[in-house]
Amino acid sequence: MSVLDKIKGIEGVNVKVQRDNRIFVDVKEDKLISVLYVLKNIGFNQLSLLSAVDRINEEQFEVFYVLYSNREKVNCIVRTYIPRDNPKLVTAAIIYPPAHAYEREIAEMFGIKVEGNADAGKPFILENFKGDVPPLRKDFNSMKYVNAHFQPFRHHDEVELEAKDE
Amino acid sequence: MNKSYELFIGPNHPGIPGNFSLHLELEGDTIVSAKGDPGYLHRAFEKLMEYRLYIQNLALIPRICVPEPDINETAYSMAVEDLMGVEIPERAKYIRTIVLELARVTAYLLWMGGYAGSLGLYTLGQWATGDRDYAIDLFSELTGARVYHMYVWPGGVRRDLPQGWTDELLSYVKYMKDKLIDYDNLFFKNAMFAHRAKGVAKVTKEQALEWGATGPILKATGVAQDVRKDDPYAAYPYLDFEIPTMEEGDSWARAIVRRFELETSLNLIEQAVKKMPKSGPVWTKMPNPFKWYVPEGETYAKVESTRGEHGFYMVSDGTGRPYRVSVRGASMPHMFTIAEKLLVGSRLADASHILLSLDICPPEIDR
Repeated sequence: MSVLDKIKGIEGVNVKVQRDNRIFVDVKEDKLISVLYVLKNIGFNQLSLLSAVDRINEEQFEVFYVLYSNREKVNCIVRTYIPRDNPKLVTAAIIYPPAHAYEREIAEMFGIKVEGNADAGKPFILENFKGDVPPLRKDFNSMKYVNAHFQPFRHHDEVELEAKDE
Repeated sequence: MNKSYELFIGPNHPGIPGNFSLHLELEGDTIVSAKGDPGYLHRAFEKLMEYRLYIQNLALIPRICVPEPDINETAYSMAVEDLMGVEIPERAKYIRTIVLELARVTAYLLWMGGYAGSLGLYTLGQWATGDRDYAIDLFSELTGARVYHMYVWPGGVRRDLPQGWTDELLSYVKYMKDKLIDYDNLFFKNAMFAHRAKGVAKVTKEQALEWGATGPILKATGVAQDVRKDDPYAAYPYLDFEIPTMEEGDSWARAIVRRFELETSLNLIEQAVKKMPKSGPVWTKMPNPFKWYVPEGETYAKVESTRGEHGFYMVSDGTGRPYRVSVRGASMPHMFTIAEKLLVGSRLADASHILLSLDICPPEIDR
């Protein structure tokens, strides 16, 4: 039984094969942890990457877990969708320890609450960040933030023109 | 009276490979807890990439990893090619392999200098930096830039090899192979080095897999996992090489694995030059780079860096700019799941030695 058949056999998943060794698995948020447990048991023993995508038009965050099986040499990318207005997630650090640091990162960069991860929500990479919107969300405006919190940015043409006027 | 005290290592410290801070709690000179504090290098690469055209990002991404920038360009280009369905020409595959392996040589040499320095042997640092510079001269001739090459791009490589460049490259490889004997005699066979590094920061095979280790850390525990073998890209499927492994899993074994990897890279360069097609296109004809519309979709492209698996997760919404790019650097799990655990119980004098044996690259944490 191939690894793809095994994944297809898991309850409540939607499988898409992108190419030979990249399998995308869509799963509902309430089934996520149990699906990750099953995937770990069928050989996906490493978590390579965990992050999120802000799907602003669909009003939701897509959280993805890039898993790797070093026996089958296959990457399995598990995706789940959580509402954008109250983003909440259950920690996967019990199953995959590297998830702990990645969850701290998405908590800071996307404002996603991670239940069960005591460090998520504490300052991590950003120091003295004063914005209302977490920076990797699509509605965060970098230029507006910079102008509000630092010396306003001006294009060099403007600076040259002013120098000429003087 | 307090039994323990706090000590900060970094963000500027000769024993830290970059701008990164460690909060240590010590009793005497034994570390009782270690917490990494990133953020000193955060330049918001992932956010900036969303504002820029695919071609503009090429100037940005090499900066994600300073000692070995070419892995970023290659993984990024592979992700774009994957989404656009582009096959790269045969000759470009070999040129990419040569560039990547030469970059590995420079990264290992830089690491060697830092690592030996952390053990008090500064001579090796001088030698390695000098030998790395010869490779950088080759890069400068090939790409016009010393450190950030921006040479590999979607569809192949930017331009063909200059005339006579491969001869210079082969003579450098021969020089390095001879020099490796000196490196062995000075450092890798040195009894003081073995005495100092054996048994330090030991990781078992199960722990390494559980904690998400890749690259030399995992290879030093006996697992021959390497993206170049497991998910071949560029010209690696056509080349003959073995993945070096060790069983011990300690700082010494990791250093020896990197020493053998350096030799493997030199052999791979020789093989690739020999097998490379003598002529042919180096770039698949693509539309004007300012009008690249990458079809909607998402992909994960990965390459092997000197520290482990380096990947790009790319989401495209069909426009000229990427919707989201997420970078997987090998150092993120190496720092936060492995180093924080390994440092506990070790001596303060070993802290920078342990960090360098894990080869942690802070820019990969602060993307």
